[in-house]
Amino acid sequence: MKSSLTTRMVLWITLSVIAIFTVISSYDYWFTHKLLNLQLRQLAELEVSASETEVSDMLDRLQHQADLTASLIKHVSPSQNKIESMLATAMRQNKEAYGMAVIVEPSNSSQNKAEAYASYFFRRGESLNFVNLASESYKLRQKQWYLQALQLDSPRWTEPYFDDGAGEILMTTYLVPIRNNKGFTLITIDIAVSTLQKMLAQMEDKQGMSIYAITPGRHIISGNDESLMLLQLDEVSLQVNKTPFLFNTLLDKIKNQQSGNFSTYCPKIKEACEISYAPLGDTHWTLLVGYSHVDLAAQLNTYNIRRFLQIACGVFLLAFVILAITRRQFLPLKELDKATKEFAQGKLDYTLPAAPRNDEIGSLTQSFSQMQVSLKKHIKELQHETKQRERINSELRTASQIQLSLLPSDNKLNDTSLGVQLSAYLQPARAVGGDLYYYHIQDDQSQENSPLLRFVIGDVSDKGVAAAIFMARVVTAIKAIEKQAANPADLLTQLNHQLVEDNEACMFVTLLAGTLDLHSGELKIASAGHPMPLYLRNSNTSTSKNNTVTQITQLNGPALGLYEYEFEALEITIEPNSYLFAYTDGLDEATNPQGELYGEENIITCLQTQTLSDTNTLISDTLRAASQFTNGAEPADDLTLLAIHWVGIKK
Amino acid sequence: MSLTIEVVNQAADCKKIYLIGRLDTNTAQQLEDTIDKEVNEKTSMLTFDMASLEYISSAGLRVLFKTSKALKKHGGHFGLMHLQPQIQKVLDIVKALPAVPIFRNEQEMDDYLDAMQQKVLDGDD
Repeated sequence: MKSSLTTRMVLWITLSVIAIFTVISSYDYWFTHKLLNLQLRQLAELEVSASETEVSDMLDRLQHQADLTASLIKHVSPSQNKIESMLATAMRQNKEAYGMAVIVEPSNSSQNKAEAYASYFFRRGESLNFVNLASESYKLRQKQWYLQALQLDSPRWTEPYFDDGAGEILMTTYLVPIRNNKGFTLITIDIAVSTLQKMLAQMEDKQGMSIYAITPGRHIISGNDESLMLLQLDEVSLQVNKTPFLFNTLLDKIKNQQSGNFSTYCPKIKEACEISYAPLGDTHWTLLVGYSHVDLAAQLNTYNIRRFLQIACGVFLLAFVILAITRRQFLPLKELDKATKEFAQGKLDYTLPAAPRNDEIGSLTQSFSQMQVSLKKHIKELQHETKQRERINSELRTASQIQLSLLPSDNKLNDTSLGVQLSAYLQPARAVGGDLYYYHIQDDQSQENSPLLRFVIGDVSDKGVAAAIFMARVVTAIKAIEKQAANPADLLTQLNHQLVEDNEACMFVTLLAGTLDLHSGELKIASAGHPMPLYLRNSNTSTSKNNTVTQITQLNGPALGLYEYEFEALEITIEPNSYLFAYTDGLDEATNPQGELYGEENIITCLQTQTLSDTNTLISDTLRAASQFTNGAEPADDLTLLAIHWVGIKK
Repeated sequence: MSLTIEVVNQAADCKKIYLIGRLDTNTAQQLEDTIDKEVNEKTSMLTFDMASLEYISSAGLRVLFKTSKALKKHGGHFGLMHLQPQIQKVLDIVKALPAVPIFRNEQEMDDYLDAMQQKVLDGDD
């Protein structure tokens, strides 16, 4: 019980803590994620912008150099030598420039026709080389870039090309055409594609992005990404068919020299990424930058994993601490539980643990201690009471034995010579009772007096000890008076006289006294508030099997012990082979569980229907019928039955 | 089943006790206690109304007899009212209260009381 209490407490507290931390952490994660995303975006935008500036600056510088040279030539018209030395100087100042050329084609209509020439300076290692592009071997007029320049109205960058015969590398060239009355002059400045590529690669390495420079003709110059190098952006659309709409929009924007950004799936890094693009000043170039959140997300994940581990460790430790505290706090309860179990097994002397603190457990321990004392006291009292009761019971048993000894020693009489049979039954409702019976055969063997059966049945008011004592008094008095009494009426009158004296408790006894002349069958009977006996005959003459049961006429005086009274006796003669049946109210007032009384009618019916053979059977049959009626209900009163069978003496 | 006892003080020293239920061994003591409390030397008249008394045992009869005896000792009167047949039968057999008047209704009781008073007045003359 207590271990599970501890476990439950630890479990619930731990679960609660986990739940609380989960909610807090979720909010924290969401918030951090949002903040970091914002920061990343800002950082990325800053870096994109820095990259744009860097590339744009370089291209601007080259353009500016070419434009400046063109402007000088246009306005000052220097000599070939001067121009060539200018180009050489410009080349030394612009390290990014791979080469510069000046091509002069004087117009035919010009009056002072100047010499045509095409001079080209380019870098090879640290030194500056010179090539005459007008030489036969170079075939200037067949070069794509030159043919393009001839069509141009304004300066423009060429698409990357390999300068066969002069620069001998992959390059792109800024063309500045000048047309005036002196003819056609072209200033060019080259940048090696490799220089651009190196620059982009450096930026990529530094900023963790993919950077692409898009030429005006939409060729791609990439840094580290070789797969897209020099591909035409329009052609890439054929490969990127997953998001054609997005790509077409991008293409349109780049064509229109617009800037913008969008998020998409980048197959290269297999992650969602941001694409940002912007035109580079007035160069007609576009810079396209792709960057992902992968790094940041990874960082955030690392942070979260660490945080989760911290919380897990914390919760684990907390669980341990709670377990330790709970165990410690519940220790007295455990002791108390042990004590309770000992109590339950009846070990009331078990010493309770001392109340540790003045808290609930302390209070509980105190209450337990009080309970222990009360229980001990109660058990002691109970033992005392039990002892008392046992003593009383023992006394009652002795009293019962004494009372039984007051009754005739044998409850059966069967004198065949006198032709009489008698059975009696007495059952007190409690240990002792107030019912009594008595019989005595007076046979003095003389010729004058017939043998007599004297019998008495009585019921003292109430029951229990008081009734039993009064019964003893009655029986003793009967035994003393019986022999002097001339007849039953005289017996009752004398007995009553004795009992009325000193009867402060107002006890009384109903009594039936009779004598049966065993020769003549003459019955003298007197009653003191007791029902007359029933007279039974085995009617052979009757067609029915039923016995004849007659109630002897009630002639009675008051119960004995109440007031002085002169009793009278009834005299009748009974037939041979007849029965007399007397009883106390334990029979007719026997009650069943429904509260109904057994009653006189049931007694008579029972006697009518049974087979009359002897007095024992008569009593046992009557008892069986009564017990069937009461159906196990507690007997309310003492019960006495007396049955007499007069056979009649054969003379 | 139990016994309910209701005591009504009709006039000075004149009481009526209603017995409802069963007056047997188990309830006799209850009635005896009530009577010890209610009846004293000054009580001149005590009547038991037994209209709702269903059963009386010998223990109950003993209490009635004791009460009548106690009242008689101090010159008080004792009466019974509204006896049910089964109660009447028990009284007839045991004859515990031969001199006790039994009233069938209030009128009979009033007549009895009037006669008693007249008897006292006559005695004074």
